[in-house]
Amino acid sequence: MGEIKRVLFKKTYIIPVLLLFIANIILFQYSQLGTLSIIRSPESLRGFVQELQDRQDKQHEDFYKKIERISDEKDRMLEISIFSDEDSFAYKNIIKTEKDYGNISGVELSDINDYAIECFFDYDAMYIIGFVIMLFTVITFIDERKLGLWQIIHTCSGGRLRLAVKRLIMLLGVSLITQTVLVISILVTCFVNYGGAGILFDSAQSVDRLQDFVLPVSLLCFFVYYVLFLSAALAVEGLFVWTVLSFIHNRNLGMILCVCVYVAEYFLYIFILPGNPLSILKYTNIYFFINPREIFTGYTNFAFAGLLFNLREYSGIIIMVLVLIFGACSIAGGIIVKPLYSPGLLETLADGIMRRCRRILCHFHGFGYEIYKMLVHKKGIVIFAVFLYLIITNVDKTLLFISPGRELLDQFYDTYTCEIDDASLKEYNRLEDTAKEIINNNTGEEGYEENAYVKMFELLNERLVYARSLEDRGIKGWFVNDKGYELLFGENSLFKRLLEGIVVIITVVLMVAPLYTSEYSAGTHIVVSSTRKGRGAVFRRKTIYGFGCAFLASVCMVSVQMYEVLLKYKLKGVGAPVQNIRMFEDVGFTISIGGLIVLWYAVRILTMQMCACIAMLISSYAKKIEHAYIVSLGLIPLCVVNGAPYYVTKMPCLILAAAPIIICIIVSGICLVYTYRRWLNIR
Amino acid sequence: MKKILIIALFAAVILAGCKDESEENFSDNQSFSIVRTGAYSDKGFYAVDEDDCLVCFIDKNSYTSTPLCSKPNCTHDGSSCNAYYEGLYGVYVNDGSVYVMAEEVKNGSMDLYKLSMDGSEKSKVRTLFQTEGEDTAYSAEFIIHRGVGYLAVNWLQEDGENEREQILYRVSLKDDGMDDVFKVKGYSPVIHLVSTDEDNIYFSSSIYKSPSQKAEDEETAGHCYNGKDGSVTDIPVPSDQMFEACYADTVHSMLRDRDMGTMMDKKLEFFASDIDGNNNRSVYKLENVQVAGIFRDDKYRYIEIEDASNSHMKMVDYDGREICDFNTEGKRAMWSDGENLLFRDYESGKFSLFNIETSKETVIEGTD
Repeated sequence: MGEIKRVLFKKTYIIPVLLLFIANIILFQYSQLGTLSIIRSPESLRGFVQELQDRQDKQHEDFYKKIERISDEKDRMLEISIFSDEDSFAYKNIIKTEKDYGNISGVELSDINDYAIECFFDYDAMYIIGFVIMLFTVITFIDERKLGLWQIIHTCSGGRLRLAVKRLIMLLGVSLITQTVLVISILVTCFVNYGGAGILFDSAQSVDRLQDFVLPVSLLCFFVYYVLFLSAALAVEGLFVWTVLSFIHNRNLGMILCVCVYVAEYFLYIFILPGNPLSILKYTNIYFFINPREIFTGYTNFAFAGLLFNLREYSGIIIMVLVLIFGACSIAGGIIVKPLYSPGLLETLADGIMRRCRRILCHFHGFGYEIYKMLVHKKGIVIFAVFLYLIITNVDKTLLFISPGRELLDQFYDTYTCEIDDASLKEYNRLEDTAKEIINNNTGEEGYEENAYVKMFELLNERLVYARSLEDRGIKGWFVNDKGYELLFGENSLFKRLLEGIVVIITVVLMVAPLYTSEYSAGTHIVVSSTRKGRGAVFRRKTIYGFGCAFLASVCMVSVQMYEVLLKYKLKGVGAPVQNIRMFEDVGFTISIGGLIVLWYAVRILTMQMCACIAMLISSYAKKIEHAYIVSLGLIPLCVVNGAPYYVTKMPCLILAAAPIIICIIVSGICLVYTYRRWLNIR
Repeated sequence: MKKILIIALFAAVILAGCKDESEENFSDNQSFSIVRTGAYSDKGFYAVDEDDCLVCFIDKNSYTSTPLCSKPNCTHDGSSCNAYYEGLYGVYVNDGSVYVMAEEVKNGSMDLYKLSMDGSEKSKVRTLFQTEGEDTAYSAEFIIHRGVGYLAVNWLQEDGENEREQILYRVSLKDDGMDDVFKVKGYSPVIHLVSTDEDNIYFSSSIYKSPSQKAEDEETAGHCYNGKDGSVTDIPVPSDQMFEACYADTVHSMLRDRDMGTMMDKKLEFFASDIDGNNNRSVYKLENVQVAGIFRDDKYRYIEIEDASNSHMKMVDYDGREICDFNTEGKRAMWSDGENLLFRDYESGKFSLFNIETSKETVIEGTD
């Protein structure tokens, strides 16, 4: 109990956790605003209720049909040769599926509306909040290392084991309490919003989303099971991070390793398709366990080494196994790892390389030394090299085939990417005559669906019609190929741009966050700030380094993206008004395509500069480097700036469209001022 | 001595791990039509159901068809189903796996998937190529032979303006590698993949020598690519004949007289010659008919004829003997394994199997 009081019952832990619980409810209610506004009006409520009733009637009917169909399908499928091998996964899967669904063939479905429960399952932020609370708990456990308690505990007889066991129990308790509070708070809010709490005592399959949950239990029992499962899953997350941090002396390295593992697990989860032979990696995955809802809302069997696994049964077992393994490892880490630090193989190797670099770099002074500290000492160069590798290997080199008609069109655009004028119209008219001639002569060859020339003219004609519609609005219409610009700005590359944005922000944060905290942790800030040039000059050097990192990373990102587009398209006609790109048809002010590219790239580059400034500010205030990393990683949502320049279409004038630039500059300036003040006043 | 022995042992272990790809026991590619809507295994046919975007399995023993998905609880209407592909393009069977080529409609990328024979396992092999989503239709000719893919994309667009280059690509199924195998330049260039044997891929190329694209300007040629040594050799075919296929060291070619109004052949003549082009002889001739399509496997040619009253199919072996002639009204030939022909009914969408030996057709029962 004393340990709980000491570690958890303190303001710095309780208040943030309570705030997160409250934030969870607020976020949920925010997500429900649309539906809540519908049910407030009696008229729209009637329609809404009727719609729900119809849906529910249909889903009840579908449920019984489905159960019947699965039974029939089993007999039919087993007669088919490819499914009839008794040792095959397919055979076992058919038998298992029919048997499992047979368990719920007799359940009676409730007439009470399930909308509240559907809303519960639609809400995702709850799982993230649970994960954040668990990370916060683990970091609180590790805090004692910096407080100097570690050495004392390590020398007490039985101190290490007892403490580790107590913490393991605390972590399990925190998981259970966190998930219970999160689930109950959202469930209660759902029932307060939409009613229907009586459904809890009816069968779980009464909820549309749970019709593939094959245990014949009530919804209340389901939620008990769900909370216990979520708690175990959350404990796995906590125990994993704790194990890593227990064994790796250097907490920075430990945190980096955790991030790397989570990123790798994320990609395994995303890229392994459900039926993949390696799907065991998709489902034995700590990223997957952050939000394991899919286990309960679907029915999945998968194969590994010739055996069949049901996802729910497998996850239940593997979660317990992982709790035991990571639990044992974290206890072992607490006992084995000594406070006295001896570098591991990796660090020894890295130190060897660094020592060689130091012989050259130690001759640097001033700014050079600052760069040396951050790039070599704080491994900034490694982070940047990894970043470059990720960005470059992510370039899409898939072969793009363009039809003969489009090739002809490209040839036209090579000469006539210009404002529609007499010369271009003359050429257009010539092409029109030729196209008409081809159509009239009808020289269609066997096997061809259309004529390339005619197709080219159709596309060109579409462009002219569009350009004329722009001219009617007082905007200059151009002959311009907008395909490349659509790839540059459009939805097809949206996910990739967001992902690259996240990578850049993480890189900037990892490179910049140690700028000031490293001085504090080494105690050098006292020495540095007492020297003649120690304040202003050091601040300037650090700021230039921070700006440099952000600038280089963001320029690399936008250059690689531009290169990727140029591999496939020529970007001509940058002087045309931006409305000539169809996706920017509604832009309400005058700007050229080139101007928009510059504006958007400036916004992206300056946003990264702003990220660097915020990270520097956080670094100057954070006492520990981990805190600087974790808080700075909260900048990741700013990657939306890379996502899409659609906001431009919503702006009535150029000044407002350029507002993000001004915001970035102002925020960066404020951050720099506060960072400088902090650096000046640090004691 | 000890050291030498240890090194030799290591070398033996390492060399044992290095296996030449060509030595692996890969099954040969199947041919029937350039439109790859079917493929066969010893148990039945795998076929494309364009209406429902499904890959189906047609069982030769039970005469039933089923989506290639082993989940009885699956509704076969979304990407979680192993049989469902929105832009389904072709299906292949090679080396104990089913391959599916499907277009991701949203971004125009043509992807290749690999499935186990019972459809219980699925993984994406790679993206083959990309087109601009709403661009003109094309015919992507793709085959898999001895663990390697071969690809040519022919645009279904008459192009008389420019000389263009058409390329046959060799596509790695293990990584993103893609090499040029053969290039041809001219007006409206086309490459067709026709047949395979051992290490050889047989294909034809066709170009027009002038922009007017008159029949007399057309230049067709047959070629053979050897996958082992990477060489391309020309197949000797007389200039008035078109290279058709190559089976068992015999080159097959044809002479066609096309009615440009109906897009059908009025007259067809098939030839055979030795691999060196000698001994070119006529083996079968067909006149005064409307030939709507020619299909082939390594045993027979199937000539689809549309008369005024009905459609029927003549089956002819490579020596020119007519095997049978049967009604194909309202049906589309999809694939053949040399023993059975797979058809699909245009209206009902039902598959049927025509047994070549007994000339008996059986309608396949399937799921709704």
